[in-house]
Amino acid sequence: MIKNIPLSALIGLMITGVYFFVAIFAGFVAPYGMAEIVGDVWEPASAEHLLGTDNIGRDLLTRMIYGGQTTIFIATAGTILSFVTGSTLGFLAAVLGGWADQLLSRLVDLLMAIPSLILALVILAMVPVTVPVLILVMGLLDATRVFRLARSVAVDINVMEYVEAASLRGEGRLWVIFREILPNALSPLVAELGLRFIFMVLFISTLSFLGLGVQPPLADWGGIVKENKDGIIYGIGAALYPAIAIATLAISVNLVADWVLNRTTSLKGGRG
Amino acid sequence: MTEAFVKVRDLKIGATVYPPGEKPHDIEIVHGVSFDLQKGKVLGLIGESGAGKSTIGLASMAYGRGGVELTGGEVWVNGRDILKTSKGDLRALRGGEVTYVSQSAAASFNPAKQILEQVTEAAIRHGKFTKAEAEARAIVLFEKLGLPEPERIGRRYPHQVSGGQLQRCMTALALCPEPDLVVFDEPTTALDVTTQIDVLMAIKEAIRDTGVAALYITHDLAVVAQVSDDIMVLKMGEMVEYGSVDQIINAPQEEYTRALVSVRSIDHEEKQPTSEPVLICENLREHNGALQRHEV
Repeated sequence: MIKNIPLSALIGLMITGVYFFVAIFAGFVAPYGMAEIVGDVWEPASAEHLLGTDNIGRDLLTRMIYGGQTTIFIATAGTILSFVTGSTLGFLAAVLGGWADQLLSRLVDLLMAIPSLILALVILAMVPVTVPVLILVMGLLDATRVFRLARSVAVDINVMEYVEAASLRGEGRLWVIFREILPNALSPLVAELGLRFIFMVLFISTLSFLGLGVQPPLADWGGIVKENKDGIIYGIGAALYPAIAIATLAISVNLVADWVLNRTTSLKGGRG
Repeated sequence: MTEAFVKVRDLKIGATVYPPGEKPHDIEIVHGVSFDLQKGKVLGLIGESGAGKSTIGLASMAYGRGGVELTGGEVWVNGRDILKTSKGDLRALRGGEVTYVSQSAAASFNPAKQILEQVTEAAIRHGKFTKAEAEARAIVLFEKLGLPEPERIGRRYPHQVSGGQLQRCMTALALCPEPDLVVFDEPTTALDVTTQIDVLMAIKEAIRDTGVAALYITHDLAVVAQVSDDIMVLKMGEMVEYGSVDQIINAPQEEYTRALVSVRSIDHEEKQPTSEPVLICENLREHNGALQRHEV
């Protein structure tokens, strides 16, 4: 099994696996407490503090680990929410057609016409910012993208003869959606999943950086950048670690998504 | 004589057309067709393309393809007028009592699911058989239809079997729920001639063994003569002639039917070349992917 996985996907799988492992077991892996002040401000890297300390003397590696937990958890939950709602509504619009399709599609157009970051900021400025609210807002805003992809894929599948054959066997809409369309729409959706997950990581990081995302003392990667950004002026690289983490996670998740896409779909984008 | 299992009376079917530059309007594509079909009998519907064969076939499941509407008449299946039954009853009818074999098996199988799963799902979903019973039945049908490795072929995906085999799988799918009526919509048209005969014989035997009523739609008179008991000749949505196979083939009454029958016996005239050859290939060899040229 492992032999058949190309090297790039293997590397991607390994790095993604490490990130998720560390995120899940943050409490066991992290050397110090999340908000524990253990040293001076912006201490350089040392044996006790592998990445040094942050702007108020907390261990940066610990912050990164707990930050990764928050960021990855929110991004994962948001992605799942966006895919479940987006693809269900997208498939439904494709199968129902007519005014139901028009209504859903135009509503999505309306939501997409407003930049999602601005819309998210407006919503989050009005409601108390908690983790469930963040997941809900980001998940639903991102669901618009998934909706469009799911709908366009499903519209194509819906006119296939095997869908007609299913209704000639007396099957209803739900069966058509989940047993005929979904298995055939899975490949493009899975490929999109990797991409949307990374967008979600960037989205939550941006929100936190702007102060409307994860609230302190809870750590998250965007928040760590915000807390340590002033250090850059003094040549302290604490703010760069989250950036590196986001970049490597993004690349590795997409290496995996690429492999899944290549393996299972004809939508290969000219990569044979 | 017992009451016919399928009784179609004065069936009228309309469709909406969208001619460029004009307002969309409704036209009638089937003008009052009537026929009876007993259990264990096969009625062949024959006619040129656009004659309304498939539309009538689908109407016997109360189904109209996009834009097509069943506008009048009665379709009685098993003692009830299915044009007047509820949606729920129709769903129970389709796939359970009446099943459908389409022209293109390749397109009618979901590429993402194994064959056995698709062959058995209608029988299971309609509560006719349990999963184990349906699977055992499918294997019996695979064997009856002359498929290789009947025990294992169901574990393949549709793209892993040939077109002729897939068409037989489709027939197995239609027969698996023990239906009362099967609509065969040109099941052998997309196959090559030798496979056509194999599949046709397999279908014919399966119909005989199971004793279902069948509507057999085709444009090929030779095919319809093989499998049917009765034949209805259609042209432009109208019945031209309706009678037993013997009657239609040997003593056609209508001009159109005579023309259809005579097509079968036209001698093939060999064509003579009109110019020098335009392409000559000699000693063409293929060598590990690279083409080697020899006096081409």
